[in-house]
Parts: sequence; structure tokens; C-alpha cells
Amino acid sequence: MQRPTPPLRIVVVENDIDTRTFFKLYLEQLGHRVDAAAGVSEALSMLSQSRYDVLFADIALADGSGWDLLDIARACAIPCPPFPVAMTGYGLAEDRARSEAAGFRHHLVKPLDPTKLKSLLTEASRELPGTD
Amino acid sequence: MADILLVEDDPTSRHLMAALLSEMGYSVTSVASGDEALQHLYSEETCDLVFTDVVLPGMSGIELARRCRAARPGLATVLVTGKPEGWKGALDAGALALAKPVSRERLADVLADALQPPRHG
Repeated sequence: MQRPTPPLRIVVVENDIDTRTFFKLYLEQLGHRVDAAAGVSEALSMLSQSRYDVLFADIALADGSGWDLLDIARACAIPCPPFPVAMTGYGLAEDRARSEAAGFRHHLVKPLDPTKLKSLLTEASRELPGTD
Repeated sequence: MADILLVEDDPTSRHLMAALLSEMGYSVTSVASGDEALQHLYSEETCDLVFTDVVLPGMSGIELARRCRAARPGLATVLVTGKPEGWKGALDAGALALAKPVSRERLADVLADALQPPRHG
């Protein structure tokens, strides 16, 4: 029997208000602590103020891209969650390569699959300090 | 377990909303439009509640709520809306309105209220 995933601190960056809202509620329903941002600036502010375990970032944002978010965080020494995941409507090889180059651990193509999300959360929780 | 018919055109939002409602213990059928929702209701599939956004391509959520009521009188309908005219439209269509931004607690309360059997007397 699979053990439940321990609570993670997650930040979701998504410009579509409905997707952002229901993504947050879904992750909270699974028992995680979730903050949500609409764009790069808001996300950088959150990352500066709190520590997170997982980042889900849309690539196409109003004030930049998910790739920019990781690039800027790194350049400004803003702590980035150890398990960053990119989300996008495009699954081209060059998009995946760009996500990998920016430091994303995974590149999800929308529409998001909740089963895949759960499996990523399990993977992320295994990497938390103090878990085996 | 109550059966919810979820109506949402955006695939990512639809998948996440369906997963959320399933995690909350509901049985969920998802469709992408008002027309598909009405087909589901006309087919006499089990349905205890219709959960829809006000803004849909083609038939709006408010029009859908009216037609759901005509197809199945007494069927609970919840409309998700971010605007005051949406709340009024929901009321006029005999539906409950869930105002954005939505919290888990408010969502749970509205669904529980909508699924309560009608009071008589």
C-alpha cells in the first residue's frame, strides 16, 4: 500500500486565474501548504520571503516566463525550491531543453494530468531531508 | 457518494477541478460545454449536481442552469462566478453562486448546501 505523501510547501505560478485557483485547492486538498502567484514578480517576492519544497511554474506568464523566473532567482541569489516543475502548452523538444537548461526538474505539457502530478509530489517528498 | 456533472471548457482547469472534487469524495463526470452537459442530462445518466463556470463558449453557465432546471426540475446547480451579474443570474436561474476567489471551505459548504434535500412545509 502506498504511503501518503508528507505535506510539502508548494508555490504555484500560473497566470490563468481559474487554473491557478483550482490547482491550489487541489494541492491543498491533498494536504499540502500552497501559495499561488500570477506572475514572475509576485513569485520572486514569495520566494524571497518563504522557503518552498516544490515550484510549479507556467512558462507563458504576463510579465515574463517560467524560465525567466528561475534565471532571475539564480542571478539575484533568491532561494529556489529544490524541485522546480515547468508547465506549458508546448511540448517541443526545444521547449523541454530550455526548461532543463533553466533548471527545471520536469517539463509538464498541459492539460495537466492529476495522476502525474501526484507521482511528482511523491518523488519530491522522497527528496526532502530526513526522508528515505 | 453524490454524482457531480462538471462543465468547464479549459482542459487544464477541468482536469484539476475534477481531481479536486474526486479527492473531496464526489463521483465526477466532466464535459467541456453546455451542449455536452445537456446531452448527459437528457441521456438519464445519474446526476445530483451540475457544477459550472458562468463563462463558457457558446451557451453561458446561466443559460445552462436554466436548461438544466427544465430538463430535470429540482436538480442542484452551482455556478462559479467572479462578477456581481453572475450572482444575480445564478439566483434568477435557481442556482447557487460560488464567488471567486474560491476557498476550499467555501467550496465544501456550497456543495453541501446545494446537495441538501429540499425542505418542505
